[in-house]
Amino acid sequence: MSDEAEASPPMLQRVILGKNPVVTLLRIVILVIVVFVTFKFVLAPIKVVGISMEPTFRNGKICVVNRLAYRARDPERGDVVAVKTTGESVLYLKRIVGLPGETIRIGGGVIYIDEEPLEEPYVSENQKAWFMEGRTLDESSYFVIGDNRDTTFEGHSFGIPPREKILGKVIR
Amino acid sequence: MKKLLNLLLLVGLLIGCFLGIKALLPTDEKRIQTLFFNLSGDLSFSRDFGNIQRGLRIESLPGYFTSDCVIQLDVRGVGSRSFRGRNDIASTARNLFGWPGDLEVRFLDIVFREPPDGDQAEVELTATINTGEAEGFSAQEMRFQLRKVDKKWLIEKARTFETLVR
Repeated sequence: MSDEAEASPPMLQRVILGKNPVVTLLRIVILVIVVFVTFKFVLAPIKVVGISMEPTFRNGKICVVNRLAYRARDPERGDVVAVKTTGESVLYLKRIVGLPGETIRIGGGVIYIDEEPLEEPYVSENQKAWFMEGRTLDESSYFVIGDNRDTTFEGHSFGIPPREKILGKVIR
Repeated sequence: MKKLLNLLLLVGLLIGCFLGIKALLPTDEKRIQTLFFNLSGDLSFSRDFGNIQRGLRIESLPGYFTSDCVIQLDVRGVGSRSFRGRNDIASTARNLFGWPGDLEVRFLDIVFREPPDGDQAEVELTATINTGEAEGFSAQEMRFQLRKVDKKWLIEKARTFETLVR
């Protein structure tokens, strides 16, 4: 057996700690910091509960929210966003259909933006004929709604959250 | 070296004392958080609960509220209902504990709208209910007004509200 082989640490120790334990420890610390920063400040993993965003997001699907999506730009129509409640433990997953300053109404299941019908290819086929009187959004609010319009109008959560309640954009 | 060890020991002792005092003398905010933690525990039950356990829970629930409490619930798609006073709470609790399945209630993200000031406080939170069934999960934002009675925080008013205002 050579001197080099005798000097090297045992196999098990090498597998667990690597050749240089200090470097391994440093790698672990960096990895923990990267994971912590990523999930605390960049991405928020979420589990979809409920059917309000079907067929785009099915019940039980796991996806992530990009918290930084709206740092440099404003939310856009068609974006699926996570809306905070009193915190981030429970989030509403909804699609933005109305932008600040616009007037929204729903007639016969069709959404009208400033009296122009909105094309929504993502909406479930069996949508119900919902009606909602027109309302104009203020300069810091958005109109969000789920893709599944095959539910009762009363039971479906949709509405007008202020900009600061939007946590980020949902990545499929 | 010995001095450094003594210094470290002293710092550790001070931190220990600080944490000990903090645990023994919780702030009003901590007391209110504990109230909601205990309330969620008392509202949750499993299908295996016997009649005695259910009865004890029903008896304990009015104790979280003031005698003149007002609870106003308006849940989208379910309807609205209000309760007044402890008798109403007890009767609602009896109905609730008649549920044959599991029920898990949680109060999450407690935010102090008005931090405890003297005998009043106001909090907002998100309440979740889970029956363990496929579509048995629901969440609702709620606002609570609390009052300190005999050094104990009690719920005086509660009502639902919505982040997604229509």
